[in-house]
Amino acid sequence: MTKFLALVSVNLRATLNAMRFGSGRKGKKGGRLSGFGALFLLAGLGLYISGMYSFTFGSQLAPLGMLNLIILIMPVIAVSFGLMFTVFAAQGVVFGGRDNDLMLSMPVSPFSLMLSRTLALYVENLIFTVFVLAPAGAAYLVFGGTGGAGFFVVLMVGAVLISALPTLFSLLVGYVLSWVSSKFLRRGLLSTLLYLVFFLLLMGMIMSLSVAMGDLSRYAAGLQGAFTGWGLPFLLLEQAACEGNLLSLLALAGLCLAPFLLVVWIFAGQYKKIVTSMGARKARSDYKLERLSASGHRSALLKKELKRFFGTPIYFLNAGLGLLLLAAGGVACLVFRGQVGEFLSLTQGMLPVMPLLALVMAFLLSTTEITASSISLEGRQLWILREAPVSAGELFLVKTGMQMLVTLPCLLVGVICSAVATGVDAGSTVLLLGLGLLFSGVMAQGGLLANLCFPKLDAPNDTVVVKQSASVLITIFGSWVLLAIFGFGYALLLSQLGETVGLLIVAAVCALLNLVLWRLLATVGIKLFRDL
Amino acid sequence: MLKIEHFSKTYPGGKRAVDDLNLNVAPGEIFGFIGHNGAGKTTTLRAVAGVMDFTEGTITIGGHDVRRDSIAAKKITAFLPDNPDLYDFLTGVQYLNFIADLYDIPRQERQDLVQKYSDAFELTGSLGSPIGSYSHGMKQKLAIISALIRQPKLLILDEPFVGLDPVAAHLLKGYLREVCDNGGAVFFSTHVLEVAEKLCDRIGIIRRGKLVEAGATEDIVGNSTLEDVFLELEGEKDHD
Repeated sequence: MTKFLALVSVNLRATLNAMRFGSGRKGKKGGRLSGFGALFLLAGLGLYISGMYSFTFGSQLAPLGMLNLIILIMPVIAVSFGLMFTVFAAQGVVFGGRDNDLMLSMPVSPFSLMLSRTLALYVENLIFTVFVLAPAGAAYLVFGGTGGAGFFVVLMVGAVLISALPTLFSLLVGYVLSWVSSKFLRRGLLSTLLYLVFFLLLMGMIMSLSVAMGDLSRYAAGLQGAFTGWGLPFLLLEQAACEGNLLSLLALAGLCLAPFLLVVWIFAGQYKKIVTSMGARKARSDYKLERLSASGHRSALLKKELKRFFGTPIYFLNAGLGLLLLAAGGVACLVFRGQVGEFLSLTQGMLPVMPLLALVMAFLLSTTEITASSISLEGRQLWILREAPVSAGELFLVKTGMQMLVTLPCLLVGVICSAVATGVDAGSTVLLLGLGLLFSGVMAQGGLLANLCFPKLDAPNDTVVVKQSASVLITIFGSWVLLAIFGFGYALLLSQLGETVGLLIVAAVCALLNLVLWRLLATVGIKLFRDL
Repeated sequence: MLKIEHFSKTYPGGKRAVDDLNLNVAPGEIFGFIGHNGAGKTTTLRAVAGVMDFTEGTITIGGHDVRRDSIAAKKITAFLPDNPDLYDFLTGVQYLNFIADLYDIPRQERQDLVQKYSDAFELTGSLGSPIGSYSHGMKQKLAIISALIRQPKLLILDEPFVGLDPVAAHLLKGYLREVCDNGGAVFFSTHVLEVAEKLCDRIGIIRRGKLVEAGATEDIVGNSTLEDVFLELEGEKDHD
């Protein structure tokens, strides 16, 4: 038991350490405290998402007498987001840790090792779920829900139980994808494609749920019905919390914990075999040297960045999913332009189409934080770049340029298609494109600067860098704060000047931010790079 | 070729890793840098390679200051760290080509050099596989090949023989001499005193960040062995 507790402790500390704000530079202190800071940021994300949705739903559902739906919907959101967060971690933390050899050589059973790592995933899910369900519970009570403190206690117990679900699915998906990809030579690319398919399925599910949420009064009855099928655990949670039904709570415990423990038990029994087979990589020894190509150093660095981006599933899908959604959203607008036109005609020109398109575009671009982890991902290979005859400035240019290069085609497809579908004229389309490029520049440079300020060079795997490092969280939150400033600034001040002038001013601010960030990179950034 | 003057390095927290180090490595010379763990060898090598920033002293390579004229200095050097981590997502040949691109090595020349060294180290057949599938020794060989194809004027190596099989170690010794025969110089650290004694033209012994001995190998060793000299300088001989 002591050994198991030690393993749990070390895995939890590793997770916390991975999120620390400390730089990973020698001799710097204060990592653990700042790790809690990052943890607060994650909790803040849960609070933000849940607070916004829960109180909106509450105001719609209370008059219909269907307030219980909040306690049905929000756990679904918590589990879906939790699954998105931890599905990569399952591959990185549970199956692909760099310390596998070390840990398996220790006098601890593979079962304990597997369980302790799974527990780290579970804790991550639990934190997010608690901070999603707490505002949901508050909204339920504020809008007249019954139960008081007892309701809240049962809801939190439910959070403890239901967090096992995303952990369970993450384990299953992470295992299947890791196993399949380990059988092929180009495992990175294959994993990326498999994850993409998985995410498309997940997004499809979330979008169909969003459609139902868009008009709750119409779909409420149907939604409630759906929970008797696949959503039974959520229905049990709602019955336990809102109706005080302890039998439902017991059933929920059985439904969540039994399959979770069963899967963990099966995996743990085979853990050594699984890890060994996944660690073994397909290799060939019959290569014959063909004619080598040659290019300049910038092109070589760019190709290397692109290979890492497209060959690292966790990197591609976390930092590039927004771009895919931007392009896919534009194409969808074009395909369903009849319905889009119909909807716009209903609004009789009251809807500010161009600013809304700009906002959606900027939001999706704000989720593209490729550069925010690009220095950290160099990790122990940073010496290669430090030793190379390439200046830090050129390196920054390549890293930011790569993000712009990847962004450009998706931006073009997304903006042009949605502009055609909504009838935006050519001049305004060009303005939207320009605005998109300038905002991407801010994201690319801001992300790189954040990563230089908060590098994480000693992460146990790429997952913790891309998903949990402070620089990524700061970039995402920073870009949302910027979007909020732009949004409110536009709505309160600039809209009075007209759409075009208003957006031109936003574009000018973005251009100014780009200049400031480039100057900062050229001065502070280079100094920070030298200190790494 | 390499000139280190009054070089000192203090890490955050106050640890002085190297204190007022002065040494020269001439063209055609193999210079062995030896010392106990934590003596300051790696710190010095990393500073020379331009991998680590420093504020005290000057280091010049071929007349280029590694701080003020770092790109020119790096163009004529190659550095091999003690445990080279390479890009797992690239294949061996992609990595070598990447390095060749960074150093502007012409196409035909890189073709010939990659062929020569990868054949010699028996790595050609594995060059098409991802580096992630390589063993530690294969990674070490790949890193050595990537250093040699640059035909550096100064080759900086941190414990280069660790992880190499005897054949590869023998080959490497030959190639180090080849670098010197072509007018270059080699500056390397090692704990294998027999190798240092046989291979090096000159030796420097560093202790707690200070250079305590430097000179021609035969002058330092004299009638004794390098091991005896080293232990004596370290103050361990009396305990035997």
